Parts: sequence; structure tokens; C-alpha cells
Amino acid sequence: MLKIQNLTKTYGEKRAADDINLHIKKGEICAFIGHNGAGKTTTIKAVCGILNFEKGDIFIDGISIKEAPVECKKRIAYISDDPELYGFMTGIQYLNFVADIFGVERKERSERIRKYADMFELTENLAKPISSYSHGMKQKTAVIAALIHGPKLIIMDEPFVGLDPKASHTLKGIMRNVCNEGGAIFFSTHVLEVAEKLCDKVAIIKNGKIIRYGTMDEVKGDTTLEEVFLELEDENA
Amino acid sequence: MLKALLKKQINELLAQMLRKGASNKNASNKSMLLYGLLFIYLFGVMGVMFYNVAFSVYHPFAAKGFLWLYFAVMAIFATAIGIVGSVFTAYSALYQAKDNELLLSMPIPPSKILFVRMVGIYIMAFAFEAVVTIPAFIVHFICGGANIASCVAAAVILFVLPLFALLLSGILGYLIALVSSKIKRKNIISVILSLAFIVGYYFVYSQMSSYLQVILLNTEKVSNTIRTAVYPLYAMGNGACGDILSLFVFVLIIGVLFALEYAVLARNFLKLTTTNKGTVYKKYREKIVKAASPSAALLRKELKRLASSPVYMLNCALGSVFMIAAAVFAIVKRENVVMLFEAAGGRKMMPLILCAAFAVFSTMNTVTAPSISLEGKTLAVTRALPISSWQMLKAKLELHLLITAVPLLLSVTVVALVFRIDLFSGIAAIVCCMLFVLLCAAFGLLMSLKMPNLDWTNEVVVVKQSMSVMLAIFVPWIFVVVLGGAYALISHIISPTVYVCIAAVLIGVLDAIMLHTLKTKGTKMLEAL
Repeated sequence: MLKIQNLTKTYGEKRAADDINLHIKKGEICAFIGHNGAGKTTTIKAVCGILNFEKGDIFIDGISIKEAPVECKKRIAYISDDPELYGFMTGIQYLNFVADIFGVERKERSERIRKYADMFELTENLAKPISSYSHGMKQKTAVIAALIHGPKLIIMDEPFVGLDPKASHTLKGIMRNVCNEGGAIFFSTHVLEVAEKLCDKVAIIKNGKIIRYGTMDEVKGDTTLEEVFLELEDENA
Repeated sequence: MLKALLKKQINELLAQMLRKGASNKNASNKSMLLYGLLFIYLFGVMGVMFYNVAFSVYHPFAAKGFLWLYFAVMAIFATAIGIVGSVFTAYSALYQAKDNELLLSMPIPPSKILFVRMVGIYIMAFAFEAVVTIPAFIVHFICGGANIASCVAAAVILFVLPLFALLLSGILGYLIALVSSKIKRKNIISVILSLAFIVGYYFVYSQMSSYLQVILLNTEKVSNTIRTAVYPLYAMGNGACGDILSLFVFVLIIGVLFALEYAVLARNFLKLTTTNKGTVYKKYREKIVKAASPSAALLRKELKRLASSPVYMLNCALGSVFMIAAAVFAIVKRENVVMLFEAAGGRKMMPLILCAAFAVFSTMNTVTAPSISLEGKTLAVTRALPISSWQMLKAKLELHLLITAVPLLLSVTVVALVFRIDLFSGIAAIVCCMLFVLLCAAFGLLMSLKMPNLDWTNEVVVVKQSMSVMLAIFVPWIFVVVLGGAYALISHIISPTVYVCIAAVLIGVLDAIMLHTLKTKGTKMLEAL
């Protein structure tokens, strides 16, 4: 579903992503972990087609994001770590806007909005302007907007930040359902316990390089993900 | 603390000029020189215009022994210009900055935050007023001679007079904030209040020449009235003539008024910036929605952004109101307009004058010029959607065309019909105007892509004070002047209608080049942000 090949992105002399290779298949959830400034957001933005890169390529469902960015974007959904949505729209206006862009049929969109807004307990607030939303409400709106077109691949940058425990639980359930229905999820997080419980695969990035990648069992073995992560951080310091 | 805040405010003002596009690097010396020259040129043109006005009224007042009245009249002009530079953005600049919460969360007294915001408005008012005040004093020094007292007075008045424009701006901003904090539909109220102010302002401004004539004919009576009814103006005029005591009185009055206003605004600043009763809270009820195409959805999004921001509407879409007003004026004052046509060379000149007039009005609409910057952090949201970069740019162009071309088409058609311009000339004028609007929209968008500011803290900075907006106003304006000037050179060999057709072809070619640039280089620039 997602194949990252030799991805390299530099900012001046700094290599934010240095020859990254990852492969996430259908039905897999892959966590992307690393310290602040390791290159997670750069990689995620490149995957979403909102950041150009110098070397390598990224394939979504076999399509190159360099060659057909719009086709790739139709298959994915992106949830940013800082959900800066259009403050001048109401929640429902924003969701309809996203549905229009993705060409979601009227009936289908209504059903999905109803379903996910109820799940995230946001229905009552949909007529309010986004500018009046809390961070958590914006995050919930971003999640619903991401799900509105039934994406095959969901890319998330710190998706649990700002969500209340119930909403976090709901999101985890949705993530598992998306994968059970043949989708895939690639997300960054600092909450290693969540990654350990939820994910099939994990990639650890440091200074723009992938320093460990594999299935959860391959990466952590008999220890915990936290122990492995801290050990790798020290080794590569 | 105050120094740090002032530095932040001034940096924000200068960021547009000193920063190179999306790279956040400082602009090159060449670019800075170019910006500097552009500013000098723009302020120079306005300065020369007011120098001529000052020169024409200096002698009549001086001859009658009412030199102070000359300064009073010029001060009224300066304040009127200064208000344009400050009043329409005062509410947004004072109370709606994005960093309000950040600054209020720090150990900074609200009064100091207010103070630095007022400094921002003062700088704008000062810049606008200087183009009147400086020529007024130059004329005085040339015609009446200069001494130490008059030089001191000039320097003091140059800096103190903009405080009066700031005073008025502060009052309007405060009233809008007060009303907005208590009522719903605050954006509409804000636009209506500002439009009412604009109507009043332009009415007074349009009567200025007749007021000036009245003043010149009844100098003694008017001077007595000003002396008793508007004493600060009298004191300022006398001070400008070199009477230091009057100058002191003027500074004292303005200072006291400003201090009073500052005290009132500072006391309510925290309340007004944090009260938000004006939002319409509706309970969500599911409705049947109409699905729209991606292009229509993007255009709707752009429209919503425009409608949600009074500052954006008032500063970048006011030309549409002027076009309609001009059409109404032309119909109501038909005879005067016909006389104008006759003076300009007869009825045959109608298509050309029509084109030039409405083209100038259309340059007042700069919807595309701040449009990329206005995306701010939401740019990533839009770019993650399955749309091409060109679709995104096209929506911004379409909004500009919708806001400008529709009223323009209506106004030009009505005026052409009322003045019975022949069909061919009328169509040529309409086509020429439409192509010009497209050119302005494309040029504004290109400037917005070249000089984006995605991390603004107050939308006033990108909507009113950005270089992209300034260029989007003045470059097309200069283009119209050059086209008009070119006709003057060849008017003996070519008819106005043929010239309009040639201009339309030229503008059409420029449109094609500009659109091609946007589709190729423009989309790459957007992707690099």
C-alpha cells in the first residue's frame, strides 16, 4: 500500500530524511517513532505530497507521488499534528468541503458524517464555527474529514494529541477497522505503549535515518518498545 | 519589555519587505533597493500632487494674512489621508491579532500590548500624512522663508499630527469592538459600520474643493469660526507659522486627548479582546446538502474566507462598491459627465475614458494579492487534498473575477447604454476591461506567490501592509497611465475605439503569458511553500 524508496530530503546542509526505505502492506498499522526533530514530520509530509524531495520516490498503491500526486492523494487521508483547519467555516461546512473535493456522494457522506460525528460526540457542535473549537474538537473534525472518503491509507502525525481518553479509544478502534477492511495506517507517535499495543510494524528514525524497522516482534523481541527505543537512542548518540 | 514588544511590532511591519518569499531568508540588497525605490516613487508621486495643491492655496491665504489657515487646511487634508491609512484596519489591528492570547498569557500589562498595537497604526498614519505635511512645509519654506522656529514647528507637527488620525481610528476600532462583543453577525456589522464611514468620508472628500472655495471666499468668517469652534486647529496653524506657544498648546491638547483615549482603551482592552459573545451558536440539524465539484467547493471556500473577514473585504474588494457607485453617479450626474467627455475631446473619446475609468476602479480590488498569505497554516490542509496546484490557484483567480468582473460588466454596460455608446465601441470597452481584470487578478496572484507570509499574527499585515498588495494596486495603475499616455502620443492617427481594440489585444496577450506563468512557474512556487 505504501512504499518509500530511498527518500532523501535536505534543508540546506541538514538531511531531514536520509535514504529512507519503508514498505507497509494492506491491513498493517505501522508506527513511526523518533525524538523531536528526527525527521518524522518531514517524511510524513513527503508521503502526503505536501513536501517536495530531492531523491527517491514514494508509491501509494503502486502509484508514484512524484508522477501522479493527485491520484495518490485521492487514496490517502492526512491528519496533521496541529489541526489548523479553516476557522471561517463551521464544522459541517468543512466536512462538506472535504467531501466535495473527494467527490463523495451525498448519501454516502451524510452517513459517514453521522456515524463518525456520533462516535466522536461532535454532532452537537457541527454547526459551530471551527474558530470556536478546542484543540481536541479540531482534532476530531480532522479525523472525521480524513475518514469521509473511505481512504485506503491513513497518514497521521501525532493523532492522539489533544484527544480525550474516550476519543483516543474510538480512534484506535477506527484504525483497526480500517486495516481489517484492507486499508493501511502509518502514524507517528511519542506514546510508545499505544504503538506497542496497536501496531503490526514499527520504524524508528533518528537524524533522518531509519535505525530500526520491522514487525513489532522483530523490533522489540522480549523487551518493551520503550526499552528498545531508549537503547537505540543511546547507541546512536 | 516595551522595547521587545515594539521590536516585534516593527519587525512584523517590515517582514514583508525584508523577507524573501517562502524561504524566510532576508531579501537581497537588490530587492531591498527595488522596494526602497518603489516606496520613494509612490510617495514621491503623491508628494508632488500635494505640493501642487499646497502651492496653489499658499499665496491666497498668505496674501490675506491668514497663513495659519493654510496650515489648518493642509492639516485637514493630511488627517483625511492618514485616516485612510489607519482607520479601516484599526479594529483588526488593535483587537484581533493572533498573538493576543500568547501575549496576554505573559506578564505584560494589557496597556503595553495596546500601546505597541497603536504604534503600528501610528506608523501607517504617519507615512500617509507625511506625503501632505512635508510638501506643505516645503512650500512654506520656499515661499515664506525658513527660520529655526518654523523648522522646529514642522518637525513637531509632522510627528504629532498623525496622533489625531490615530485618535479617530482608535475610537472607531473601539466602537466596532464594543458593538462586536455584544452582538451576533459581527462581521456584517463591522463591514456596515466601516462602509458607512467610507461613504461619509468620500462625501466630505468629494466636497473638499467646494469647501476650499468657500474658505477662500470667506476667509475671515471661517477663520473666526475655526478659532472658536476648533481651537486646536487654530493653535496648530499658528504654531506652524512659528508661534512656539501656540505649538505647545496644540501638542498639549492632542497629548491630553490621546492620553484620555489611551486610558479608556487600555482599561477595556482585556475585556474586548477576550469577550466573544458575537459568535452565532446554532445546534446542528442534519440537512440535505448539494454535492459540488472540487472546483466549485474550492471557490466556495475562497468566498467564505472573503466573507468572514471584514478587513479582507474592505481593503481588497472595495473597488466593486466604487464601480457601482461610479455607474450610479454617471447616470445621476449625466450632464456633468457629458461635459467631462466634451472637455476630453468629444463623444468619440467615450469608450477610451470609460475603459480607463473603470480599469482604475478595478485596480482597487486586490483579492488575489494576499490570498496565498491568508492561507497561513491551513495551506498544508489544502495541499494535502487531491487537487492540483493549478486548481487551487484557479479558485483564487475565479474569486477575484467573480468579485470584480461581475460588477464591472454591469457598471460598464449600464454606462455604455446610458451614454449611447455605439455597439462596437461598447463591446470593445467591455472586452478590454474584462481582460484587464484578468490581468490584475493573475498579477496579484503571482505577487502573492512571490512574496508569501504564512506565519502572520494579524491579517492586516498581509491584507493592507504587504508588498504584494501594494504592487498589485500600483503596477496595474501605472500600466493604465502608460496606456493612456501612449494614446496621447498617437491620437492624431488612430481613433479611440481602434486604440481600445489594440489595447484589448495587448492585454489579452499579457493575460495569456501571465496565465501560462502561473500554470508553470506559479504552481511550482506554490508547491515549494
